[in-house]
Amino acid sequence: MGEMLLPLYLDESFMDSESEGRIYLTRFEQDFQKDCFLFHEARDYAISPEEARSISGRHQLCYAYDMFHFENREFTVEGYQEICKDIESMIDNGFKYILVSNPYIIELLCNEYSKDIRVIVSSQLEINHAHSKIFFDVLNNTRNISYIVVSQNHLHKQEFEEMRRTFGSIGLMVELDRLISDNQIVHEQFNNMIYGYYNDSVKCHLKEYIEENRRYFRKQDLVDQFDENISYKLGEIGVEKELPEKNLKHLLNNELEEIQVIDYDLWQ
Amino acid sequence: MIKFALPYNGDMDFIDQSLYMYGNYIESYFGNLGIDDFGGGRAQTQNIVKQENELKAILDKLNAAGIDFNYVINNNGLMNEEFTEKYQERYLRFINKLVDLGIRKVTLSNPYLIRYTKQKLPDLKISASVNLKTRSWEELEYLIHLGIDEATLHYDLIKNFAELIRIRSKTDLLLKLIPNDLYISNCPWQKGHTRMQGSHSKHKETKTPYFSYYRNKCVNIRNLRPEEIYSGKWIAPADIPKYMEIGYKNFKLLDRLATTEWIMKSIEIYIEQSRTTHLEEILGTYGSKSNIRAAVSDGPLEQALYPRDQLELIPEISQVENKLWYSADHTDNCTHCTLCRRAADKGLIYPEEKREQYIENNRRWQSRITKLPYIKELNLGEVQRIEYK
Repeated sequence: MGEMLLPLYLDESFMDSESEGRIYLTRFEQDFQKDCFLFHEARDYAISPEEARSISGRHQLCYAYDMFHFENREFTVEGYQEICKDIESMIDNGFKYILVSNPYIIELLCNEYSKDIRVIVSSQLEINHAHSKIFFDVLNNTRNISYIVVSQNHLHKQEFEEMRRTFGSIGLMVELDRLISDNQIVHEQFNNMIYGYYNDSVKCHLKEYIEENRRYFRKQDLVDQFDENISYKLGEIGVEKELPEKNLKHLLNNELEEIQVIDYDLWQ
Repeated sequence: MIKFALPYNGDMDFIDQSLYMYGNYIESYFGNLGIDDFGGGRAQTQNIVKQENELKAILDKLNAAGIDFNYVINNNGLMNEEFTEKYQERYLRFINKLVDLGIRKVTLSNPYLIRYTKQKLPDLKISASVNLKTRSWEELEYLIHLGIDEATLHYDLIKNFAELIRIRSKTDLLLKLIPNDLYISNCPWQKGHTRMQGSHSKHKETKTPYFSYYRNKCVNIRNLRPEEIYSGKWIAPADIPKYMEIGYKNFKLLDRLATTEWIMKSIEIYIEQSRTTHLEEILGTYGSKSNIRAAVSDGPLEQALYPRDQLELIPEISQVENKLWYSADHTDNCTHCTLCRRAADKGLIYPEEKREQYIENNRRWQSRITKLPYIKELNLGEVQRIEYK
């Protein structure tokens, strides 16, 4: 049975809704990736450690830690210690999962925290091919890797089925509402902007970039009907609650073609 | 005739020797000042760093011979700095200085910078970096619209003849392939590896150590699965004519970190196109003799930072004839194919017992690298790069 990764909103109606098989994505405002454009923009959606502790008793929480590149700061003593402190704080505050994309941090989680937190590999790692499994084959331990959110650039239904067979016990998760491009240059620059550092000009450039490259973007085509055995990711930290709620309804009602891409709204 | 883009390894003798021996085969040299404000595809150390006057002397010599020096600024991880006025001013100042020195061509890997550079300096030629991962005509066409004048196509195209033929049928653009890097098919580490190198080769506020993290993954997967050597993307010298027949005559040889002697030998072998054994000696990943003089840690597996001799097992690689790799029917889907495995059985000398030992060594080393004492040691002293010895 697949699970659903959704953004967390501190809202009673949302929190009281069905939570079986749901994992809620959130983060704290202050962490090693606080300068990331996406997380800086979405800082109002961050929760406090106290709130996390109180929610984690009732709901499965996943910490969004998927900034990919830290300019090699993860290999400095200060950077390493900051990252470990962040991970330990997640664990202490009841997070069951961490969404992560930096290869070294994935290995750190697998080697040092395998009993304490489960890993969901972000689409930022760009796992989009059956052969990408080699990434996991060289790790010493992958027991705590639960899911991989597949990157869908150049990935279509047939190859996805191949990937599902190849990856075996590691579940594949499908993002349903994001812009996808089969043009590597467009796709990579788009993600570079979202997960680069914040500055005043990025948002304006990002909006312009999306508009200019509209014809290179497409919607997902990995799933055409709701399949309970597949795990899904909907929404993103920073998107207004109504959009993922609406998209979730479409998914559950098997109206996948109605699911709206969130990237156009995310940067308004 | 085959033409090469050659790596500038910081040695003026290399320029002299290669011009003298192979002048007719040289299309360009590529390289940079070693470290600058923008970063590129190689994490450099101090012994490569050059002053502007040294670059000027090279450029005067090359311009007189009608050969370009392609200045490489292919850092993929600009982290949105490229959108700031401050960066753009600094970048323009730097590029203008390069032009004044005699640079006519730059290699870029950031789409925004490609367009920006073309707008500001329309006469400067732009080469699209391999780091852009151009794997289809559509992607190349996109770059052409941005303003590139030439491109190095991505490794993943090397055994995709259908797409190579398709691309060549659409454009006369100068297109280069890299033959002597053993690139893992659909490598899941490339994104991290290129960013790590880009970040390490630019001036920045925080001093960070270079760590052979990604190189090790690449080498270790081949310890685990030798067939990755043949499914990997490289071109054996004797196969070069197959590429020339379909219109690819320009090859970019690696490596900027290699010795003059090693690069000279590689040029010779790729011109002769007859070598069929010990191909590991010409592959940057395995064979390159490095010109890096940085300290490297040797010693016991449980203590050394990167005990290369105990982690990287170098097999003997021989040429394996295979028509499928070079046919338009060859696909990228290796799942149900055993061809490369059979090639590995035939073409590799990779002692099984040693392979098992190296796999175990890597497992033990990997269990150390995520611990604080390792990171502390990595940051001690002046060790900036621990990859080579």
